[in-house]
Amino acid sequence: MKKKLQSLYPVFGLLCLPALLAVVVTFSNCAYNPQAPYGAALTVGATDQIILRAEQTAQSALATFTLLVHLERDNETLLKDVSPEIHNYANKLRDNGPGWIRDLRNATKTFKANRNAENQATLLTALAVVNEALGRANTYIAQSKKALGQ
Amino acid sequence: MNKIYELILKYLPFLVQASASVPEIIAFVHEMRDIFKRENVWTEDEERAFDAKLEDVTKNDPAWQRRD
Repeated sequence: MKKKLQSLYPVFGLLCLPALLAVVVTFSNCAYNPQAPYGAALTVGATDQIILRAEQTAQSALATFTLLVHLERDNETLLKDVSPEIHNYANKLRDNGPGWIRDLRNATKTFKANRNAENQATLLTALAVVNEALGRANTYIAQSKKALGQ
Repeated sequence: MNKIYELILKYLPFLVQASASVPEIIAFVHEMRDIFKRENVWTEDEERAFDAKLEDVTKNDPAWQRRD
């Protein structure tokens, strides 16, 4: 019986060879690539739209934050009485706004240079932070204008 | 990303209405319009220009500096 099994070893080997080759081919696609540690790069066409929106957001954030800090500074006494929140948020922007936009710019440049999923996620997080701040800044601009009767 | 457009659509009419009395807001409305008309990503020169403007405005504009 043992001898009979031994005679079948070459047959088992031949049967296993295609399966072994399939495993090697499949996992060779998953091999670690130090040039793209987070997976294949995303296409330029698809990612250009994300980059364009990120650049537009950075620009509109600088313009919007600048408008709010000017409105607040030019009318500080009145606005403090009407809504201390406007003054507090303008100061929050003075402290953090440049950093938020800078983070967005850095994430945009990193993603532009290396368009992988990891960098895209970082960029989307930075975008969410700036978009949230833009929403609040726009709300306070509207409140300021209303308070100033303009 | 639609959020940014929603915000602009929400506040732009108000800002246009207010712009008659505040020159700063007129400039802001025009700037926003130009920003969102653009269809291509920045060149390296344009990137550098914006990054320099960001540093210049936020460090040198007195309105950007905290007083309290």
